Amino acid sequence: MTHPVRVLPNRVDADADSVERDLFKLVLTVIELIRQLMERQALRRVDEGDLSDEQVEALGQALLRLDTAMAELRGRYGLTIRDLDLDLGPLGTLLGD
Amino acid sequence: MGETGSYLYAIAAPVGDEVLGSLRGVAGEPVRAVRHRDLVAVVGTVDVGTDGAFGEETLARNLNDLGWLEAAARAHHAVIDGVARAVPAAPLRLATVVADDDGVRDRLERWHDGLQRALDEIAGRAEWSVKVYAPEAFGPDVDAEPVPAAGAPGSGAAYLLRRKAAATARDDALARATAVAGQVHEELAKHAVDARRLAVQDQRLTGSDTPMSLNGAYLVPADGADAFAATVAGLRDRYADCRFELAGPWPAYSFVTMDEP
Amino acid sequence: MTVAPVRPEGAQIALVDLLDRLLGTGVVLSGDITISLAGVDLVEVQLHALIRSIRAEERR
Repeated sequence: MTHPVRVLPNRVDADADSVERDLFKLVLTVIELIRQLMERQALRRVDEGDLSDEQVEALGQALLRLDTAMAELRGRYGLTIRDLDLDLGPLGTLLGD
Repeated sequence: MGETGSYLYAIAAPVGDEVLGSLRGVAGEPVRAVRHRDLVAVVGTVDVGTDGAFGEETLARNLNDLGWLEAAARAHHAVIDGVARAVPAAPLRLATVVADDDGVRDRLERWHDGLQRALDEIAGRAEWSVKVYAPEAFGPDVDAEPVPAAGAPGSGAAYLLRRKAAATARDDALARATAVAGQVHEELAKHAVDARRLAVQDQRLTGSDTPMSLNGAYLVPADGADAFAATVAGLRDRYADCRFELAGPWPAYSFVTMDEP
Repeated sequence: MTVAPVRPEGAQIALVDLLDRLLGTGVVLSGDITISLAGVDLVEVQLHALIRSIRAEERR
């Protein structure tokens, strides 16, 4: 069963908390974009097979730590990945394929 | 009322005033006919002055107000629908306003032949919408995965393997959804006079938990509706893990909507 | 010559479907977010042009 989504109002009026939350959301979105790009690149490099086992492990550890850190940051404001997704119209959705 | 304009709803085959008499337009105004040769423009008089709802600045503001937009869209559709139940009608897009009735007649003259062809094309036919939703999401599904503890030996490589598997699964899901959408559309098009694929709708707008893979519009003769529905039912069975939505009959929006040249 | 058989009343068309067909550009979920504090506009974030479709002519 699906439920219709409420469209956001254009004016986000604030108290300090919600200003912080919205700026946070923007920042997290950019970071999430970079994280996903790095992950995709890393997977490509691993596929190409030009990395040593140690490099693969180090790369994986770094991405894993980043993933954990991002999840924690999102959790602070109760944001999911879907919440961060920005639609840029003709440029396509910012996150994901 | 300040300066007025003629708001165009549809251009139709000859239709009587008794059909139009019961209809009300986007501004609650009565709807009337502007006749020229064998065509009828269905029109309402609206306020296009500075303070009017259809004045340039106010209109821009109104169109960005979802509440206003929804009310206007439904009223616009109700007029078209009311006319289309009686005669073939080519809908105009929302907020097509012409200076006055002379301007309306002028357009009827200019577009006459094209319009006649369009009306012949949709006579006795209706639009049906078929939407297909993929069985699974194919965006990044990071939230669904529990993030494991970093630091354990081998956990980095294992993490990459998992991410790789997730990426592959996503790609496969997207490829399958695309293929199914193509097959469904091709099959449905065989059972319709005309068919169009519209842009799929954003999940956040529809509230769906999975992405839409097909947003198809099909022009079906009135007496072919049951057979069309049966075709959809057959496709539902064949692609049982996808969700299908059939809606209609609607005026033939996707096949003859008039754009200003 | 009727276009369609009797259809069930109350089976309303989804707004998204209507707007897809009635607007020239279709529906895009986006907008400008203005972040204000104490009634003062501080930051305007333009994500994308709002829904626009104005076909108007000769209104002057």
